[in-house]
Amino acid sequence: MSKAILYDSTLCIGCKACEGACAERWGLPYDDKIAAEETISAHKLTAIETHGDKFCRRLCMNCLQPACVSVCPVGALQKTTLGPVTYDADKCMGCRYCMQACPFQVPTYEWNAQLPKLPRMRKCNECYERQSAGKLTACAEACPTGATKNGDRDELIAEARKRLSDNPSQYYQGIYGLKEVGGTSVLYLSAVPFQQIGLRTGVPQEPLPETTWRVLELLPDIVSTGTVLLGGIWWITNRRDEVAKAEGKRK
Amino acid sequence: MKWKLPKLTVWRAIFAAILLSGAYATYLRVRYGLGGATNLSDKFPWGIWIAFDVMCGVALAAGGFTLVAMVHIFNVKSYKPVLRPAILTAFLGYSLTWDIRNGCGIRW
Repeated sequence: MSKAILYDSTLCIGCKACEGACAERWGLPYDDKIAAEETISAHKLTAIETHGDKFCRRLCMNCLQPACVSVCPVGALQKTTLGPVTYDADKCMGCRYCMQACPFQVPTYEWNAQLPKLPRMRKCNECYERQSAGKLTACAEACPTGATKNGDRDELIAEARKRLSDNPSQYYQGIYGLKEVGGTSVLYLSAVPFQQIGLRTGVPQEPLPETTWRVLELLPDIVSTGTVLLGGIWWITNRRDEVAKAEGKRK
Repeated sequence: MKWKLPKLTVWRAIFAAILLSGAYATYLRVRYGLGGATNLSDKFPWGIWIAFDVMCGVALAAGGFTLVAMVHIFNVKSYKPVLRPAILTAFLGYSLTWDIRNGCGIRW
């Protein structure tokens, strides 16, 4: 039973109330200049993009099997059972592997942090502390039209399917995030195909950590057979020398 | 005893230039932070030097490993004279990864 966010692009009016609520929740500054930015960055963890007369909200997808969590060498990123992917700045060493791994280019970095302030990675964590207290995410609470809905993932999928079948002419028949990279905790509905509102449709359908796991799971076998094989070769080649030496003495 | 300046050969001049530029880059990194020193951004979180490290540094080190395996495991004695230089190059190859100290947000 994991939590998710359903974002319905057809209901979104682009008022950016979610952006303001998100900035307030993180304690980040928010003014007209920041509101005009249409990309997520270290000081703006969710952003409303304008695509013609359509809107698309960008935020961390909080994937079911996140690539960022699997690559993090220090375990600063965690997938919680509640759903959100959380980040621990005290563990982070700033290698930015998560940014490299993320199929949605979500993690952002405080590039201009100068000593003694250490740069952190920033991303939405789906209001982990609010959701674990049983509250809605700040963005879902702020949304005046219900375009952003927060709740149980399975219930939201059922809700999305119902909207698709109730108004088939209004929607592009598909839910983005249902299968993408093995499923995400942010689901999108749209009136037009998803690439037209700036979502990456080329991402693989299988969870990304599994692609590396297919190779990594062979490692114990390779290491153990390799050790035995090379050890055996070493024993034979050295014994050849020893035998030659011993026979030479005997003569 | 009088301290004498070492003779400045061409290669020493080149290496000195490399060392000095490295020192200057380290200064920039500490003074202006990662973004100011490298111009990396959210779209390009890693520099080309990461590929350079992996391709060159680790490849050099792999050559050292291969030679050690040749001499000590497969007992090919004719390669023994080049063994030590190969291990030294391998070590230098791995020490290239010291740039992680500058590449990571936290420098220790």
